[in-house]
Amino acid sequence: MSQKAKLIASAQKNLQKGQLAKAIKDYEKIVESDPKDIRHRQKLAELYVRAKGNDKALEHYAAVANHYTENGFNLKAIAVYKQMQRCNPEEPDYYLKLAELNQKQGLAGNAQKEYQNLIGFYQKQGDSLQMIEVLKKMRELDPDNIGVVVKLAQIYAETGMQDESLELFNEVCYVLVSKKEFQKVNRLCDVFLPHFPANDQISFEKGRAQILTGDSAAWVKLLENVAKNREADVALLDLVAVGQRKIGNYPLERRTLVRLLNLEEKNTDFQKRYVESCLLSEQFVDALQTIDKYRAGLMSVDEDFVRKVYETVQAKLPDNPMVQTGLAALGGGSSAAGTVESDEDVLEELEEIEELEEIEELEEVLEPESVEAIDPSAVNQGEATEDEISAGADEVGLDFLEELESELDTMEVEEVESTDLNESEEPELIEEPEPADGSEKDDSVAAETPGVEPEMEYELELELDGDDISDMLGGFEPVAEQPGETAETVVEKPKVAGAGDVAAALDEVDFYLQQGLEDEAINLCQALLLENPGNSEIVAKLEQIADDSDEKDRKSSAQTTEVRQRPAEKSGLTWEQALANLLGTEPFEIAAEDAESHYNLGIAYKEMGLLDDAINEFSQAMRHPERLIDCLLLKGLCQVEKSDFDGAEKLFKLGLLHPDLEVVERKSLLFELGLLGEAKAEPEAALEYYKQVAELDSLFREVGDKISAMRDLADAMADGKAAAGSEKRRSRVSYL
Amino acid sequence: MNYLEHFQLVNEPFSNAPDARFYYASEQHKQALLKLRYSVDSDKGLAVLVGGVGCGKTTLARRLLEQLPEDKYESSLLVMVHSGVTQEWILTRIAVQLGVENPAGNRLDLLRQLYHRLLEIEEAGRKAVVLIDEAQMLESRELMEEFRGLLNLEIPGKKLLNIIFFGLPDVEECLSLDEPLAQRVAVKCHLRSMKDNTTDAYVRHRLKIAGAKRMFFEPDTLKVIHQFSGGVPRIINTICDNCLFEAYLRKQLKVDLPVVESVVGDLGLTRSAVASAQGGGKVREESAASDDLDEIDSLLDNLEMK
Repeated sequence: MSQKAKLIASAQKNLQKGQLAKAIKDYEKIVESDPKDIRHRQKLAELYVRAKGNDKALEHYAAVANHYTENGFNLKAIAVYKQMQRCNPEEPDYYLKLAELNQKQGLAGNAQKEYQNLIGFYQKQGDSLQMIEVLKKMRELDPDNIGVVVKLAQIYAETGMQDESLELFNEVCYVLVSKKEFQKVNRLCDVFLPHFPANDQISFEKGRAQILTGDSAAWVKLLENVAKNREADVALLDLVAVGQRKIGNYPLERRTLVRLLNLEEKNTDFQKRYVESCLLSEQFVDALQTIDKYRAGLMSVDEDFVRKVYETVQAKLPDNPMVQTGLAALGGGSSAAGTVESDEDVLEELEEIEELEEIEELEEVLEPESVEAIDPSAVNQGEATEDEISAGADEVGLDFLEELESELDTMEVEEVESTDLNESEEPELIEEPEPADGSEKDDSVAAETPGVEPEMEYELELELDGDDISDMLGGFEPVAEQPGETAETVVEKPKVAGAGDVAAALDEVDFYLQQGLEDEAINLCQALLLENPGNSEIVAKLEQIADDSDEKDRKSSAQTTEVRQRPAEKSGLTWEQALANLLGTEPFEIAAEDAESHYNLGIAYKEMGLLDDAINEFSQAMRHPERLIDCLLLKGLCQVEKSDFDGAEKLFKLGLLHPDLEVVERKSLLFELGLLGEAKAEPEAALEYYKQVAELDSLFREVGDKISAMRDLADAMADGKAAAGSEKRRSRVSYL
Repeated sequence: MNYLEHFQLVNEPFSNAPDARFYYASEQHKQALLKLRYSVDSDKGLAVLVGGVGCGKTTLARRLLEQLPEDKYESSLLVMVHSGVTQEWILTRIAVQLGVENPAGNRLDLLRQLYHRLLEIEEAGRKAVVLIDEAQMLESRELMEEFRGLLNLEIPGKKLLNIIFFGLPDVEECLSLDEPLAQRVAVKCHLRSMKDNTTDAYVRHRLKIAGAKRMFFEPDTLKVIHQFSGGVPRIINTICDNCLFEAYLRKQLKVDLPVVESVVGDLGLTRSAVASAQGGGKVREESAASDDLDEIDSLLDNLEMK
């Protein structure tokens, strides 16, 4: 026997005897004689942990972790760093290493968690620069995570790195605007405005968001003031005009449109809007003069519009020669449809259009480009389709903003109080445009009161493996969401009446199907059809259920059916439901390769004795069917090690109910239940399980020996109990 | 003929097998027993006796058990022989030892049975005592928590169960696995290796119990034996037993220095190693003490192998 082998034997013997100090000495010698012996170095580190020698433990763990990292054994390295993290939770380097290794291994969720922890750590330390570095890494890991970008921008702003902050602000704003998430733009601006109170860009975005989401008046006023200094800013003026229309301040809208037309005289959108504004405020002469002026250009893009304007004005000013001239130029005295609408009809129609399409129109007007980048000629050239609007449903979470909820509430109150919402005075510096009708009277401006700020609701979408971003960043109070509605549904409901309900109900149908509740799914579909007769989606779903059912009938064997029904008979749950309950989430939702990584990491954690971490990883991995039974087994074994026998038993028994369980898996599960019976000092129960294993395979592991041992033990225990119950004197000394 | 006849002894005087007749009440053993009895009689709940390898913990545990008459105490000594026991096992065994009939398989039911049994014992005016030897083998937090739970079985103003742990210094590590349990230790005693004059008295005591009519060891040999044994009773026994046998082989009626030197040489004992275990009166670092404990353990291992 070599010296090393002797030392190993001695160490093991000492460990068995509980001689920790001596075992450590042995392992020290082993490691000293063979510094590359990673396995024993790791063991040595573990012993130092047990002996509360954390410094020495960390020293050896570091060597082990470096070895694994350098040789590409990332999962093992992760397990070692996790152990080091346990020894010293205050060392940020371990979090970083863990995050990087998880990232390398493709375990993005785990990596994000480590980064989150690191952010929390540096936040406590008040170390903004380190937070920035970590956030940059988080951003690399998940470039689409808006929450991370916003947090980074926020930290930049707080540390005086204004250019960087604004750059990121613009990036986020672009994304949100492109998704038509104006409520979130609004809140985003609220975060950044305090840092950049004089920044026109943020003010513009804030104004746009406010105008498009309800509270227009105050922000129209604000943007009007901004526009005073940016006379040639088409996008800004355009927005101001939109806002003015929205609050019904038609005179000011027209003045703004005049400014726009001064800048872009041939913009037919501005031309049309000017005419519309005239009609809405019953400035028919002005409307007539304007349509006459721009008739040629407008005819080429929207002849019908021109005709309707003439017809409307004709009804009001029947004797005006310009009307006749105009109509004559159009080639007829009637509308394209061949009917002459009354002036009231036309006005009503205009108002209806305004009401029904107001939001779509406004959103269409404003594309996500920055102020300078907006192409005015592209504005409002197409109708907003439902699809385009619903594109915004790919909602971007902004939970990171929620910490500022109370602050924002305060700000909003102050703004409302400090601004005359019924503002009717005209901006002083806006030049009067070519007067169309100087006698204009317009009470609508004062009559329109901006809507109350709608309640801010945000969906927690920026999930990082279950933790939302507000958790990650710490200290952010969640905003209570109104039941049943999100910001998105609030906006979309009037446009797509009932569609969301059907979609949600069909999701529910899918859920029933996943759970094997076919009858419930069919019933729900039929109920939906009653409410939405002929709905193609519902019909298609019913057909799909029927097809699937036929397919299933063909495939299912009598045996499988029997097994599938067994759990349902016992607990009223299907196997899948039981599994879903166990996992706390829908099973089978991760990719095979991710499941494999989680599985391997679980193994590594288990070997390191990091049982809770191992259990977490196995729980992740079992969400893929490939590793389900393996993970049930291993998770159960971890729970056995934690003395959670009941938990382990549930897992093993659940595994036994799997409808497609293979024989070898059944044997393993039964054997583990036998071992569990032993651990619980229930030899009779253990014996029963071992017998079942033997029936399947009498040579499986040491099942024969186990059966003998359990029989003896059960007999001995029965004797012991009998003796305990007898009058016979018990020995006062016993051995255990 | 063996050395018993040669020295006209009735029993082996230096056997390492537990034998209450040979119990030697050294001053520290007396003190420890007193403290442990006090702990039991005043229902302190948990007491701990810590001692190095071979210092007499098991002997003391058995001595204490003998001092607890059955009419006044429902007492039991549980000797841990391996470290893989589970909560259920130990709970079942304690219940059985304390007289629970037909212990339930279910842990909660078992605890209920145990509680009722403890109430019966209390109502009969007796005290329930469980002594756990080799308690350093209880190295899991779950087991420690189980003991804490048992110690919580009480009626107003009185604990229903007294537990005493006997173990190596590692037992303190086990206790630290469950801080609340560690805080419940009401009495703690330490057994240390003997001083030279105690070693002398110890040898004489054992010879006397074994039927010796005279002293077989030359006066100068006992000092040497003490030095080589470090004052650890188990090593003293081993050396002395071998010395008697060696003297018998040499047909000597007394154990002299050459015999002792021959024996310690054969046993592979070194004066410096074991001498350091005693400390030489100097204050030593804790780690050094731990190392010495290991050394003693190694010596005992070697002796066992021989």
